[in-house]
Order: sequence, then structure tokens, then C-alpha cells
Amino acid sequence: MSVKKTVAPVLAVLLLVAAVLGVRWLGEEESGVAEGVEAGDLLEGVREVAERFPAPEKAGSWSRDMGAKPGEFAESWLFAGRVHDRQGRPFGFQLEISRIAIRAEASARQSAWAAEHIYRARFSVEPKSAKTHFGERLSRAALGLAGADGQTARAWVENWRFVHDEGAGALRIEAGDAGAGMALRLEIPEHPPVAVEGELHAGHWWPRLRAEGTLTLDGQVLQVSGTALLERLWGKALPSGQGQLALARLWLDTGTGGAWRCQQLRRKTGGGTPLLQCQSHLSAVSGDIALAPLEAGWQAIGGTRWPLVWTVRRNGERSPLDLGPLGGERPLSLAGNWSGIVVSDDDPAPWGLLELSNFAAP
Amino acid sequence: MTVRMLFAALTGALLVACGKPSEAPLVLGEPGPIPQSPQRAGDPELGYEILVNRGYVSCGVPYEAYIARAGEIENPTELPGRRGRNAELPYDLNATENDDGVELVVSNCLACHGGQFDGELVVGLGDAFADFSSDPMRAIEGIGLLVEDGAPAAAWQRWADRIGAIAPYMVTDTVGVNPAPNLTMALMAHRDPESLRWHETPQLAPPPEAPLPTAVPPWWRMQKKNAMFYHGGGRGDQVPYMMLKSLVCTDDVQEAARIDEWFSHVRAYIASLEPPEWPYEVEEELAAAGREVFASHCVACHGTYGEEWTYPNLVIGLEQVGTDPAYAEQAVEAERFIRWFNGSFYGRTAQARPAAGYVAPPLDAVWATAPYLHNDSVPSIAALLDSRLRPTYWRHQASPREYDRQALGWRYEALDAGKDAAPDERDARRIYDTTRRGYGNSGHTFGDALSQQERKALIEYLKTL
Repeated sequence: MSVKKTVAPVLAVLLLVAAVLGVRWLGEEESGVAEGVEAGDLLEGVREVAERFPAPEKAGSWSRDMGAKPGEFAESWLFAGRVHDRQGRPFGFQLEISRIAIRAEASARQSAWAAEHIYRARFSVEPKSAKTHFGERLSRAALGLAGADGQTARAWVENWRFVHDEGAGALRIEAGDAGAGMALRLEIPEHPPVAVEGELHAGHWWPRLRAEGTLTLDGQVLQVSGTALLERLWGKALPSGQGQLALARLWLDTGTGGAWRCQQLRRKTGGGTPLLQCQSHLSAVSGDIALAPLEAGWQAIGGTRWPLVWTVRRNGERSPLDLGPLGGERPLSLAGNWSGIVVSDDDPAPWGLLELSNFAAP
Repeated sequence: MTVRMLFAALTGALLVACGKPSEAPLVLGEPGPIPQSPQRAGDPELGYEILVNRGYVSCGVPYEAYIARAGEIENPTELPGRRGRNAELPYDLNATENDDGVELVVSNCLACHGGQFDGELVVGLGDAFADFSSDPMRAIEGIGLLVEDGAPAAAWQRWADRIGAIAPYMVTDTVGVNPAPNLTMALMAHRDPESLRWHETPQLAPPPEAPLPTAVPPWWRMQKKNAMFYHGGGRGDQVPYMMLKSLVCTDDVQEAARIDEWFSHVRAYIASLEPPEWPYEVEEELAAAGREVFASHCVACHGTYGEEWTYPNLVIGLEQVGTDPAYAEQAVEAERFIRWFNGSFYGRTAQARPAAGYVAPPLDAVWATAPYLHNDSVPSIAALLDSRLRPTYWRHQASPREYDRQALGWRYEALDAGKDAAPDERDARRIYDTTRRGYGNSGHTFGDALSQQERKALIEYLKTL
């Protein structure tokens, strides 16, 4: 297995990092990388790094797996959910912290700025039909700016963070900036998570976590509660569209005790045969759910058309479920991806998280 | 399905339905002798060079994406005469370059016509373990993850679209059998017969989606055969049939004409192939007794062997041979495809004329060609000669593959129940279920009348052919 395909999902991030933070710290020596270094050289370097990492470790105990896995090339913690405030107004939220390695071995440099990893975090607060507040940060794992821990499971990028509070039986997530923020407690449920096993990554998917706490929006602090999901992944690559294929990922909470996790690869320019893979909570199921973008649901954002409304047909159910964004306008992430909480206009119970990558310009 | 199996699905002796030019009445073959047709001269050595090095299938996976997926091949199966990039690829793939300068990895004929015996690749032997039982599109579309924008993307998309169009017609329900006739008909449905232009939507009603099973016949039989295919419908010039694999990607007559010229040499190579020799000991006395049995019971249909060989080139009617009729019946009933072929570029020198029967094949190296009958339904010669031994449900011993020198076939396991009783879909696909349409193991019961000793002697003799 070549790792060329394993690294592309992180290349965009690396390019951004190089652009935002400069490239000098990517070199072996502080002065070792010329100012005019070509992006291609950097990417080749990342490929080489990825190739030196082993196949992903299989999922084991979730509480241990929530901790940092520095032996993996990349890892991520994703929290997303739909909550309501005391007036019954719905909000979506997301927090994702991810890491990639930029060298396979510890740096020989003595500088406190020396780093082996890059961290990225993004968060969003998504009020219904109003502009989504979105924030994103990149940081190196040096000087305590960003990092992850294995003893007490936690990860952070500056003051955006999650921590597993074992004593309280909960995960706590915090993120915010001048415009919005979140401080939420996600209760560890009795039902176990679902193991995720991919060719290049592994992890846990945990739907139907109870969420409560506060969202801050435009200076207003709102008490909220609802449900959330957790996706913890690690491996040689994190899921993303690349090459000629776009990737649509949909996590669906039926609101009636069921949950699905689907990913569909489809040609970024249209046509071809979409490849769908789904699993349901507590049982591995394939072939009994269909997923397709709704023709009327494509929107132009950032020069690309994105399918923001999807029709879900579940086995044995007569009417399909159309899921579209809960919130209004939102920016793309620095990596050029779209993600948002999706809901149905016809049925208040279900909600989902939709994540889209590598769709092409029309 | 692996990338290699995917390529393999597009290969092989493409068993085509047959007939006459589109405006003329259809003429079908009849049971009885098939007359000889003149064949074009060619250079066998050049034919081999073309076979293992050139892009007669002109679309495929961009090389960079192929390597990213499959990795460098450290020890490709040794195949003499591989040049340049071809030497780095598995034996069933060739390297070529398209008009946009994109290096491609494409399927070659050995994907179906390169089988292994005792761990050695035998050129021209069908692969009894080839697996065409899963949807190829997951692998084909998945390769798109590895394809760069621009010309490589266009090359990949062209190939993926072609396979996407025929994929529904090429998935068998059993590992080991070949879907080539069905996918060939599906390709015809998408092409203009004269210009060879590709149409995204079929211009003819496509064949049924479930392919009938066929065995891949060994190439060395072409020394003796006057017509190709089990139903004897491949009459006239054999080159057009042999190049039908190019139907996947050849979109104009100019390219077809070039491949046609190449394949005059490939045909010469195929016709020059000698059958392999039995690699183990033979009991000479027993074989001599078997020769007598053969002479009195088998020669009339299968011919004589040795330096002064004879071969009658007979189509045996369905009622007489009694083997599963579905394949021959489909061929004679496929009027639209018969007309397509005979009115096409390929029908200029060849005439498709299937018969409602099956050709009694030459038996050179028949011991190497298990399973038996046109549909691979009988796992060994011992079972072929004694119909009471034929299992209704069976599966090959997959690993390790082991050849049974007494029964003459790959070791198998007879089962009490068919696919429905399999624990999962993967296991079900490995089960050969002779109760399914087209998979029947009836007929050719001529050996039932022999004594046990006669059958034993006959088997020993067959080792010497």
C-alpha cells in the first residue's frame, strides 16, 4: 500500500500551515529551509513522513483510545450536536481538534519552538437560519500552544479544548472567540461506541451522547441541552476526498434511538457510480440505506458547488428524509471543506452532521 | 475485487453471438462438421511481442495511480519478452500511452488466458480460479482518489465510464467462471457497428444482466479448430474474434484497423502454441489400454492424437450431447448481436454463425483444463466420465490449490447444499451450484457405459495427450 493516497487529506492543511506560520520550522535545522522553498518539496516531505508510520492501531478500549496517540501519523477528535435553548430554539455546534506529524522521529533541535506535530482546531455555533459563527486555528505542538495527552485524555489548541473527566463520567468541550463560544458537557452514555475500521484509519464513533451547557453568541450566554456525537479517529490518513473523488460524510441521529454513519465517495465533477458505505449504531449494516444529494440543494460557495441537501432513504421506511443545513451562511474551512449540522423541515426529531470535501468548481 | 481481477473481467475469448450482415437473413450454424476457413499469415514471434507489450486495450488506469494503489511490484511473474515498463507489471497487464501522453496500465489477454499449473504460468491456459463475482465499480471508482487533475483524470474517467456501462453484465454469481460473452454483447450494444463510435446509452437492447457461465478454452486448441467458441459460431477469419477485447476502448475504425493488423500476428502466435506435456509419470500399459478405449468410444467426436492427428471439427446437437443448453440457446437467439457483428468492422472477414449445439473440442492437454464442459460445471475428468460422481454442489479447495493426479482436476469438496446454505455471501460465491440456470452438469454421459477399469485406463491415456 502506497501512502501517496494516505497523505493528501492533510496536504491542504500543511500548505496552509506553511503559508500562515512560515516554513522554517519544517526544516531539520532552523535555518535549513530556504525562504523560497517550493510547496512541492514540502509535500514530498510529508509523504515521506507518512510512509514511515505503521498501519493504524485497531480500536480498543475507548477511554484509552481517547488519549493522544503520538505513534500515529494523524488523529482527530470531532464533537458535534444539536441543542435547544430554554426558548426551544435549535442550535448546532461543532468542535474538531486534529493533528498531523511533520516528522517521524523526535526533533534533535533544542529550541523550545521545535515541533513534531501540527494541530488544527475549528469550532462553529450554528443558529437556525442565521449566519454560522466559525472559527479555526492552526498551531504547532511547541511551547504548550497545542497538544494532546494520554494520561488524562485531552487535547487543546490554545484555549480550545476537550478533556475526558472520568470522575464525572463526561467529556467537556470548550471553544470560543470574540463572537461566539461553547462550554458543553457531553455525558458518557451506557451504550458503547462503535468501532471504526478503515484501510487507513481506525477509531470510535459514539452517537447519542447527551449534551448540556452554554453557547455564547453575540455576547449572549444561552443555557442549552440536546444530543451530540463523537468521532475519534487516527491513522495514516483522515477521511477526505482527493484526486477525482469528493467525499460526503453524514452522521444521522434519527431522534428515535437510531443512528447511522455513512460516507459516500463520488466524482467531484459528477457522473460515475457513487460509492456508499454505511454503518448503523450497534450493528454493522450495509446496503439498506440510500443517500443522494437533492438536485435543488446545490449551492455555490467559494467558487464551488456544494450539495448541502441530501435525501436519505432507510430500508423499510416509505418516505425519504431530506436533510439540509440548520444554520445559514457559513465559510469554508481553511482546508476548503464544508461542514454543518443538518435537519429536516418535515420532522423535528432527526438531525445530522454533514461534512463535504473536494467538490469541484462547476 | 482487486485491480487485476477487474482487468481480467474484460479479457478473454469473447464468445460472440453470430450471423450475417444486418440487411441479410440470418444464417445459423447446424450440428455437424465445421468447414475450414483460410486464415491470414502472421509472424508468431511478433504476435507474442504484441500480446505481452502493446496497448490493444487502449484505456486503463493512469500509471501513477496504479502504482500508488498497487505499489511497486517487486517480483512480477516472469514472462519472457516483456519490454520497458511492461517488465515491471504483473503478467496480465500491459503498459501503453494514450494520445495525451498519459502512461496507462491496461489489461492484456493473459488476464483470462494465463492460468497456473503447479505454480507455473501457462500462456493460453484459462484461469480456473479467476473471480468475476463482485462488482468491479468499487475498485474502479475508488482509483479516482489517486488520479491527478488534467489528462490523467480524463483517461481514468473514460475507462471508468466504459466499465461502468458494462459492469452490470459482467458479475458472475460464482468464482471461477467467465462472463466474457455477456460483457461483449453489452459492449456491442453501446457501439455503432460501422464507425465503432461509443454511445453512452445502449443502441441495442443489452443482454440479460446475469451472465451465463463459460469456461475459458485453452489457446492451443486453435491449431485444430475451424471455428471459435463452444457453439462453433466464430467462422471465417479468426483475427476479429481474437481482438474483440479492444471493444472496450477502441472508438474508431483507424484504431481497430491497427489492432487488426497486430492481431494477424497474435493469431499466428496462438495457432503456434503447443500444449503442455503431462509433468508426472504415466503408467504406459494402462495408457495403452486407455488408447483402445478412446479409439472405440471417443475418436468420432474428439479425433485422434499423435503425429498423424485428425480432428473432425464437429458441432454436436444439444439433444445428442445433453449438456446445459442455455449458453448455445442464448447464442442462436441473440439475433441483434449476430447482426451487429456481421455488419460491423469485425464482420468484414468473419461470419458469426452459432449453432444449437456444442463443439466437441480437441483434447490436447485436456488434463490441464479442469473444470470441464463449456460451463466449468464438472470438476474433474473422473466425474466427466462417470456422471454418478458429479457433485450437484461443490467448491474448489482454494488454498493451497492442489491438483488431483488421479481424477485429473483441481481438488474440490462436494457439498450437501448450495449457495443458500452458505454462511455468508463470500462463501456462497465460491460454491458451484449446478441447479442454477446455465450451470447444469448434465449430459456427455458417454463414459457411464464404460467399466471402472476402462475409465481408469482412459484417464491414464488422456494424460498423454
